Amino acid sequence: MLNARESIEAEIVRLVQGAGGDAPALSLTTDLVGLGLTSLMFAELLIGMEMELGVDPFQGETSIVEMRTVGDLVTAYDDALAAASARA
Amino acid sequence: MTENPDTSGTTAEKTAGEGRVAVVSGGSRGLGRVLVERLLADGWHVATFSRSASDFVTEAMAAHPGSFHWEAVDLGEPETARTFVRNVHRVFGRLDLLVNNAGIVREELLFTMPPKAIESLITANLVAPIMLTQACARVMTRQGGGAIVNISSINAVRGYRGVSVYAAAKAGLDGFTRSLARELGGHGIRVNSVVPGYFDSAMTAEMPAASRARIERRTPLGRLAAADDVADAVLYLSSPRAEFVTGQSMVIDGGLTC
Ligand SMILES: NC(=O)c1ccc[n+]([C@@H]2O[C@H](COP(=O)([O-])OP(=O)(O)OC[C@H]3O[C@@H](n4cnc5c(N)ncnc54)[C@H](OP(=O)(O)O)[C@@H]3O)[C@@H](O)[C@H]2O)c1
Repeated sequence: MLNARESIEAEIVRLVQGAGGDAPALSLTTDLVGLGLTSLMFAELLIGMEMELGVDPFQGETSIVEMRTVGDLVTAYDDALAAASARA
Repeated sequence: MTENPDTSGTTAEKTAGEGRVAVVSGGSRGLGRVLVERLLADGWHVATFSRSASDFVTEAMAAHPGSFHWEAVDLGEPETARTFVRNVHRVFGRLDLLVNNAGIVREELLFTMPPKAIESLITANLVAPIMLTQACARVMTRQGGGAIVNISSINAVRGYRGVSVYAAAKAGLDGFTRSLARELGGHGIRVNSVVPGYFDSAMTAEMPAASRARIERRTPLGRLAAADDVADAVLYLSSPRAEFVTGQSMVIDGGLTC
């Protein structure tokens, strides 16, 4: 199965560096807003992950901007990947 | 653009869209069909959907196997629009233009309109185009830009009895156009509406001769539009000639509402 955590962390590092920041040290408890992620960066993350992993976990009521930590994101994508492979 | 030794007018036009990819909703007949034909003639790759295939769709699939893509999609189930866009991206590899053309009208006094019918009119004419736009805009922003044209109606700018729900959806589409133009401008994506008056299609085929004559009398340019008049505006807004135009609603009605 695709590794959501690796892809998410790589994309976050890319986004933070793209905004002029230093590469952050990430753990599952790292706070996303604390990293300086803006609503536009959340959008880029969502679009980037959909292209890379082929899933969008945020098609229901919950939006990606409501995610608080790196771990929240990893869980959401792991669940969506598991659901997608169960369907296939 | 590809090099082409033939410099005749038609060939120059044929290469105007070369390699670019358009999504046109509701391309099986009416305005959508005209847009599909003209985009294909200009060298675009065109993807379209409708609930059922028409003869035109079958013929176009046979005539343009590499550059025309059709699927059955029902705007009544807006989530399926995402799957459609994903398939288009897989087939053609990019996406430069979205025309939200498909629409349905139901003429009835609000007094008697069943709630389910109200909901499905708003879903097909407003919610589904918004979902389709979201899916397409995500692809466009990754590749650096694109254009979106929403087909509204003069019912959105002037009151007519019997079409209040349809008018609400179309006015919604115009509001969506303006705000989205602000959101997407920085991503190189332009968003505009074309606001047609009455033109000949299945939608207006049942119009009584007297109504038709009245519209012609009230239209400064003295006739109903042809689908081609409306398509001209859509193709302009899709082209580099309109590269500094966004957030606008262009009324194509021969002056009826001026
Ligand atoms: N005709 C006019 O005078 C006039 C005036 C102002 C604005 N407009 C607008 O111009 C646009 C085009 O109109 P038109 O007159 O060319 O329409 P039309 O001839 O009735 O064609 C509508 C197209 O949309 C498709 N469609 C309709 N409902 C759909 C659904 N639920 N799901 C998927 N596809 C659907 C139809 O195919 P299927 O039926 O097979 O699904 C067909 O391809 C519409 O947005 C309309 O509101 C028209």
